[in-house]
Amino acid sequence: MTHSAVIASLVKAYFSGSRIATSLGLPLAKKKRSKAMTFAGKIGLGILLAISFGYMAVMLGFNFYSYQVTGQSLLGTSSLGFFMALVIDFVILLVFSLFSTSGIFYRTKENQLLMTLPITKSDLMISRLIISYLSFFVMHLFVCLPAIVVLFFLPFSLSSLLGALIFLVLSPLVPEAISAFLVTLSIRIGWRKNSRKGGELAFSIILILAIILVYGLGMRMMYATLMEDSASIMPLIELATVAMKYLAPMTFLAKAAAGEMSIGFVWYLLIFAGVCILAELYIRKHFFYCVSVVQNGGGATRKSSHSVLYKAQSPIISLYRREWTNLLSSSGFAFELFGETFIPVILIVMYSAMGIIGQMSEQISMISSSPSFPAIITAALLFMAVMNMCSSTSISRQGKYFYLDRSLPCDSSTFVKAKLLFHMVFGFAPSCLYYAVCVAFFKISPLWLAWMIPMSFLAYLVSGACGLYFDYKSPMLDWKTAQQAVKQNKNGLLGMGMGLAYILVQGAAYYFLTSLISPILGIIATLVIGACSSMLFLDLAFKQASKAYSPA
Amino acid sequence: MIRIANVTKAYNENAKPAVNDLSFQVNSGEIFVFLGPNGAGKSTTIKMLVGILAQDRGTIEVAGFDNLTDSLEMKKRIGYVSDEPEFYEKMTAIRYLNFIDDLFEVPAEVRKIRIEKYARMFEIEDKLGNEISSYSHGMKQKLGIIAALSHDPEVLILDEPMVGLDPKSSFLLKEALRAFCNEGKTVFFSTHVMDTAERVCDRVAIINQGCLIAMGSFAQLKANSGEQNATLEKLFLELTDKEEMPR
Ligand SMILES: Nc1ncnc2c1ncn2[C@@H]1O[C@H](COP(=O)(O)OP(=O)(O)O)[C@@H](O)[C@H]1O
Ligand SMILES: [Mg+2]
Repeated sequence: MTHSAVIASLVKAYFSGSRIATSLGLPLAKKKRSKAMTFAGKIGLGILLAISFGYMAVMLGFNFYSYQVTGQSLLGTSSLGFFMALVIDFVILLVFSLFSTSGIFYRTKENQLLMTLPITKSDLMISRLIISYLSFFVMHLFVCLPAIVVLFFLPFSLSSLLGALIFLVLSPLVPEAISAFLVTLSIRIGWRKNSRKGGELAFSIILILAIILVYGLGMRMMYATLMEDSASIMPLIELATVAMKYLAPMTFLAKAAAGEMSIGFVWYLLIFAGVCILAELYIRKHFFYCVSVVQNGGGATRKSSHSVLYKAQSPIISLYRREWTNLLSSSGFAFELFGETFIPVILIVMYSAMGIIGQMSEQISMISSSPSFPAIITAALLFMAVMNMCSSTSISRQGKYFYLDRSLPCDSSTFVKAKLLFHMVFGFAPSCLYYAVCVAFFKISPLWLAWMIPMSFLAYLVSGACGLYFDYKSPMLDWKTAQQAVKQNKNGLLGMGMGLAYILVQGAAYYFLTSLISPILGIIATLVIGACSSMLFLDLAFKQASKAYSPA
Repeated sequence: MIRIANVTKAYNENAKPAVNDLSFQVNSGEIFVFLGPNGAGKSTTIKMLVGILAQDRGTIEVAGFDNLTDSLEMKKRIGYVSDEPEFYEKMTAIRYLNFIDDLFEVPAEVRKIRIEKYARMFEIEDKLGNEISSYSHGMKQKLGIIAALSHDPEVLILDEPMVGLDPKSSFLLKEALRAFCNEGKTVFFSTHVMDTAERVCDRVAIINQGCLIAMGSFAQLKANSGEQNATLEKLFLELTDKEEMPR
């Protein structure tokens, strides 16, 4: 076989060969679902996805556009929007590939087999690189396409075509090469697995905050440009100038794309090639060493063993603790779910970036003194409560272990209660903290807490029960990488969609009853709706679980 | 005690059944070996016994409880060692054992005595505090066996338990199984290794392509085949071949 044929078959094997093969892939329950239903469900899901992604892409496009316009008027370059897109794309790809590179390169079970086959090191490596390129290409498109669309507002030139093409096709290689390098380095210098994970987590939190900041500042610039108030954003412009100076390679590419090709573009190409080649050389040198270290337990299993304690706990608590073990067993799970829980922190950063706008128009005081303000805060926090995938991917996250649960001597309701307990501790407990912060920060009367906290409790209960219902119904158990179980899981979307419907119904009832009759009635109605829905979904979840835990 | 009557199980409606009209009974106080080549239907049968799969037809009773109508009571009395020693890699071994014993509601003092005993026997008592991800395949196998024994089941069901064990450990396991039986309890395990079967079993059932093709004590099987000095291996090959001939 030629090298390219070998590489192609390695890539194919990775994407098609499911390593959890037939042995435990047991039938969950005999399915009798009409084709039309499945088809309709797929279309509905597709529309939901298209709308949400479309919305985010349009927002991103606006953001880039506002940078572009601001840059044109204040910096005399049209490249600022494209530059921002390059930075965001780079950061996003770096974060996500950092989390999966070690999985794709070193931790994959395939390696045990592949190492014994007569495949050259560079074929193996190139195939891994292509795999990570393909894995993140859609995400890359998501950032890249809006930026390219925004370019259409500039006069067309050959140089912008070239810049856009390079961004589209080649630029993902740089963050992926860098993350492969970083992961290899961390294994090579024998970073302990736990500190490695901590490092990954800290690094990505910083990067995410950076993205949010860029985003928030973009909104700010857009506002200032609209108001023709350039003085207030001068500091931001200075910041952008500094960033463009230090991230020179990206600036050169951005300038080329904006039709301002300069000799610096050659620099970009040189640096690009240099980074890729250096990373390649380094990884090639240490590839087998790292594979063997990782396959032998990460070279980092803790030497000191834990003390041996014999402690009896109730089945529910024991199962609840297992949920934590499962969540923390993979940085993929932890990243996705902790991310959701701490979105409020991210939102606060965003709001404070936009809060400046609010202060200027003295609207925030108007809003926060308006009688409906607590309801708005409640709605925002309820929205966060239902936007989580903790329960709706809970069974899927167990993967093939799930079938073994059927042999455990517990009633199906015990499993469900443990999962719900986990959901409440993971979601509702931190939310109480957020409520306290809101009350203190916006000077809302603590009396509102008496309404907000039960509402939030019910929202978490509804979203937990309904998520469990969907995930028990058709769990996704045969995933290969941890991220798939969470990110590519339609149950997560179904759970969030249902949660959204729940708060919309509640909101509508509150709005109409409050404006037509009285706020007290509105409050009572929301609580009644919450109680009824949680009872309904709990019932559904328990019934579905009893099916899933019965032998099939 | 295990009673299986006319059990049939197919994974798909149109597929050939993985287990076909299987009937046999395992008595208390005996070690019963379920012998068959790869893909014979051993794991499928065992998964029906422990409540993971449901049969399409027939009835199954373990420790006096029906596997479909009384599954909870049944599972409380079964110790099950799965064919793939897959565990929660991030748990320490002792946490895994505590987890299993919590679900079986074994009091702390009782589990301590049993776990210490079996861990010493299988020589992993100083590794109980380690994360399972640091265990080798054989050690994981041992951990699964300790977990199953630690809640003192009435019926022990093991799927290919000798795979991955070194000679000494597999000898120890056989001793442990024998001691367990001598208390009047039941051991049912599957294997594809004739050797193992021959040495430990009271009775053996040979299964091929989902069908029972022979059952009895080793001596009986020998007598039936008419060869006085045959090994079980030879019998096994003969029997499984005969089934395949007419095809
Ligand atoms: N999850 C599954 N889906 C479909 N067929 C299966 C599944 N598991 C096992 N089989 C088939 O059932 C038969 C019996 O398998 P099994 O009971 O695992 O055999 P073994 O005796 O080796 O344990 C085999 O032909 C196998 O291919
Ligand atoms: Mg098997």
